[in-house]
Amino acid sequence: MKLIYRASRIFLLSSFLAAVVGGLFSYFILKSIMNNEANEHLFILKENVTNYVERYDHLPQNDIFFSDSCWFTPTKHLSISQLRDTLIYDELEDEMFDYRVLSFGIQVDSSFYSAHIQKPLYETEDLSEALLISFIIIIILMVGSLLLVNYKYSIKLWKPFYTTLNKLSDFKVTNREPISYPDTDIHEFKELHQRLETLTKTVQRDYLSLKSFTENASHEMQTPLAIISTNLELLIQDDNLTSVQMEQIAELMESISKLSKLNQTLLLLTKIENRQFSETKLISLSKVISKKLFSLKPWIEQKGISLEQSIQSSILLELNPYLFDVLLNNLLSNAIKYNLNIDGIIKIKLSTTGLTVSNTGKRLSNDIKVLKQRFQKGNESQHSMGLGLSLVDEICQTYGFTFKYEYQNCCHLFRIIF
Amino acid sequence: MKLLLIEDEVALGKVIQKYLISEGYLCEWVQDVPEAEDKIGVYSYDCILVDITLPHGSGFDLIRLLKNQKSTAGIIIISAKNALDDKLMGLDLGSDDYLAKPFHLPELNSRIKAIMRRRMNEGFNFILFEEIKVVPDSMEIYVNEKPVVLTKKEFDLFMYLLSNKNRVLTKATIAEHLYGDEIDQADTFNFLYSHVKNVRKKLQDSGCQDYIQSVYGIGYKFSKD
Repeated sequence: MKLIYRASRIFLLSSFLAAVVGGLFSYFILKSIMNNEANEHLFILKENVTNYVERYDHLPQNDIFFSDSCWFTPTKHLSISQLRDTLIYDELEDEMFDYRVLSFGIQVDSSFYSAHIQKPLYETEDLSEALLISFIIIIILMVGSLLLVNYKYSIKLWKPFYTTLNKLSDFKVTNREPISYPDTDIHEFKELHQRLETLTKTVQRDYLSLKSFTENASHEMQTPLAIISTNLELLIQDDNLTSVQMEQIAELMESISKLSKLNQTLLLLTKIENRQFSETKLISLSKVISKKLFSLKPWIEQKGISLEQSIQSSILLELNPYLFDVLLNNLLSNAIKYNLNIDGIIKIKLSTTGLTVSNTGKRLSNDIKVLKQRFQKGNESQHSMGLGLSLVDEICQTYGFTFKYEYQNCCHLFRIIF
Repeated sequence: MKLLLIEDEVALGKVIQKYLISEGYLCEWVQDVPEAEDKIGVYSYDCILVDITLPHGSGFDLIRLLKNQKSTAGIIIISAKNALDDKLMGLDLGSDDYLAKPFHLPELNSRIKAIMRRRMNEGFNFILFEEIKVVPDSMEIYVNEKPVVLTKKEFDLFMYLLSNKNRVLTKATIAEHLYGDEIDQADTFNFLYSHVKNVRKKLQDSGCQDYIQSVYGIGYKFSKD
């Protein structure tokens, strides 16, 4: 839920609650004030009646005096005064109306009467209703306008925040440019920007130093490796070596060559990440692929793999030729290397939309996402270093291609979408 | 044949020089640009092996200097920087070959030999080894003046063995020379085995003695004895 909706919801909910409570409260207060008012009026009338009887020694006429009606009934005893509400039928309106009646005992000479004064209550009801309605209208108008203003203003207020959020989602640790934050005079946002700036800068710096460490380490390793392997090459020329020593040296040389190959691949990866292969050429993928397949033909034949290719001619792309060569090499040599030993098939399809390489083979023990990471191997193979797919992935990223993997009908399917 | 090696890494320079001397070359070795400039100014060489990253200058400066002097020496760049840019720039400046470190010493040897062959007597040149005659330019091989038909890879293999005769060559060295280092080594060794077998058979069928010796666990050696 968006911040602004939540804030509006809370605002609406609390306004509603306040309106209901406030409305009820004022309704009852009003009601009790009117009630008291009615009673007071009745008691004043009672006072008038008593005074009249005292002055003239007879009852006033059973008449309508002032605005309210008053009548008398004879009683045996002096009755106590009492207030009661009653419904009286009005013929004119054909409706029952609420009245309040004050009855009290009165003595004229030696006879007792009960006096009744009545007062209609519907006036006060109407008034309360009118008040309630106007109250509701005022509340609705107020809440509505406040909500609107608040909503509009919030959008404006939170704008720098959302801009920052968007910029952050585009943030890549490999990018060298720092993020530029929108200008704002709100203290909290300013602080947020400062903190983010420090954080992203630290992350970028750490990444760069880690990267340059790998780069330097690989670079510094090259020469010692070259020295070891060239010395070993010189050593095997010695005629006095026994065959056991020769074998030991051969093992050494194999390990050294693995190490230096690993080193070179790591260097290559770093160079691709550093965008050091920015030079591009318009190359015909169709031609390059056919050429590569031709050079790999002996290898494919030797493993008894049948090759099915559907290569659309004249597909041109602006690429770095060396990187595309690396990509092809890795994809194709994987397809050959990890193929079945009997009845293996490799299918290659090149069209305007992309390149697909699929080969028969055992299901991989690892997920492709993991395989794209460095040093992850699909199968426990002695001869692989697990850098191939990570190279392909890196190259695809450089050119904005999508690199996908699927396992379908016992086939590994690698798809590059241009 | 006189070579100048310009390499600042002492341990590496030493072993390269030693190897080349044992190959029968006259090999001088300097470690930085000023020293190299002195040598180039005074002596003339058949082939110059130059590193790119050097103290007090760059290998490229030396190549420019050589070209300004209209030197006829062959130039091979040996650089740890396995970057395409370096290679292209070096070749643009007029160097003959480029070898990325780490490289195999027999590979360096065969590159030097190839350049020397191209320089010495252009067009007409062949190599004689006992009853074998090889014409590298047209990729022909004769045993007792009878032609032997080899595939391109087989010919490359034979030339590589011949260029490094009397040397033990590891399988990895030969495989890399033939297939580059892109193909998985475990698989290339199988190829290599069948290629060697074919070359042996074809040569022997033409009445040639078997000069390709297997060195158990390591590789092969092309030798008369």
